[in-house]
Amino acid sequence: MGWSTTPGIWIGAIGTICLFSLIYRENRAYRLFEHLFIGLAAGYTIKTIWTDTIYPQWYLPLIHGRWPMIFVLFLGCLFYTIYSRKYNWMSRISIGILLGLVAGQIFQQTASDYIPQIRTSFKPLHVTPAMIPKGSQLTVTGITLNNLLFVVILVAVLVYFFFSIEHKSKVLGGTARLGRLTMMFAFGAIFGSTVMARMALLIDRVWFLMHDWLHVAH
Amino acid sequence: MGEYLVRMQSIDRRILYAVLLVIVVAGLLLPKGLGVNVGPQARMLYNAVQSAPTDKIAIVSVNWSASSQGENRPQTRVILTHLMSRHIRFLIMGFDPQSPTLAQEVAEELAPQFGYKYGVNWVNVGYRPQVETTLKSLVQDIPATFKEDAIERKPLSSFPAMAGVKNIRDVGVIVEVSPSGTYKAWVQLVVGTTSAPYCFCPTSVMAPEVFTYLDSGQIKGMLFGIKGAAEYEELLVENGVLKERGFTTRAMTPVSLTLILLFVLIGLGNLGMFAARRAGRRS
Repeated sequence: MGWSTTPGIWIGAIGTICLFSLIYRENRAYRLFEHLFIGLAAGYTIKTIWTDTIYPQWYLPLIHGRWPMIFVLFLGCLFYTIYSRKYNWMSRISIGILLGLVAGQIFQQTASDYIPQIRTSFKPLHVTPAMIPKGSQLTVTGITLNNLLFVVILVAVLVYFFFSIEHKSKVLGGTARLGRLTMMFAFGAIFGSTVMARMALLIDRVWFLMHDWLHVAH
Repeated sequence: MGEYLVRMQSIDRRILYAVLLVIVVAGLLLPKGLGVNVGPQARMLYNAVQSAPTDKIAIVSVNWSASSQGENRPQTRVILTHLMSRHIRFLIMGFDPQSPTLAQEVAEELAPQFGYKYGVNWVNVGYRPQVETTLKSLVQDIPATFKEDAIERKPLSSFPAMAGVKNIRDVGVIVEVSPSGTYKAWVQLVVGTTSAPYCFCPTSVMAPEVFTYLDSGQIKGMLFGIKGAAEYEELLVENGVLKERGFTTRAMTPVSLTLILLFVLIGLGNLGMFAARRAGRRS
């Protein structure tokens, strides 16, 4: 029992309280720890980029004889010529290489991302008992209703984003309204999840204060 | 009465935060929690890890930092607990500078319980800044992609944990714990090149957009923020891996209580709005 005697825990606890003090009002302690937090994170990032990436992946091979690695540094430095009016054309070499690499990848990425989703959006509206997945507790009626709901919502949302024709007719306007309504459900779910995420972060900090620092919860 | 209701629209935010704090503290101190119902997404992830072959390695990709550890640390903890209980070797990697260090902390904390040793049962390859090139490379050659580990700075192939691991075909299961959209890169560049199931543990904010990928089978299981981690902990207790529920399950009580508080406050705010409208019409 009793408070923690670890200096790291105390620094963490004081930092947490000072950052939460913003809830009451803006103050210097909050500002101090905010800058400290951002500075630490930025410093740690620079250190990790060197130790985990640049040092083992570039520097070590370079000093051990793989001299062509120097061209990587040269290509990287070309990006900075963008700040010079005279030499900014040189940055286009690096940007061009990067764009080429990304454009090549996009083909694979788009196909792998969307084709399986498009394929699974074709759901059968006439379900037979043989189509029920093994171990599933759903019935034929349940799966049919589920698939019907899926198809109706999919069509309604697609119609909502179909801007080539004005949504004046009753059928088109009504379907688009249904699409908008179903999206509202999705946005509501996202808002609820966001609240839960923020609460989880608060609970984690309160637990740190109660468990690790004050030792009042076990 | 109407006057009091109108005031509900402008309650001092400091009062709201104080009530919130009291509810969170009370929720954490309650001896008996509200309980957790295990959802299908967590069960799918559990089954994916449970059916992963023990002779293959698992990849645990962690992309969280101190700012999202409230949700991502419990997720990492339950996943590593399950992997260790099955004696599956694993590789920790990350696309956030802080994440491999934080995940290493979790692994080292759990290791003594399951007799795990660094290098023999797991390796940590540290941080990589570029997601796409790293993933494209690891599909073909894992040791060449990372070269050395981030803890002992030794060649990756020299570790017993990496014995027989060449490329993505030697991976039994991939689990990513992340507050960002890196799952897309995994789905686009890795899923499809391997038979290993890819599972995702996002923060609650991210989770709704992942359901499409679960439905299409591109993602085989998901932990929905801290709730998902609590569900997974419940599954670990149900199956005898853990003897008792930990902080994750306990945290669900204040989560539920704060959501109830939110409902009440939304209700009061709306009552205040209607009261104000009525008062405006009268005057």
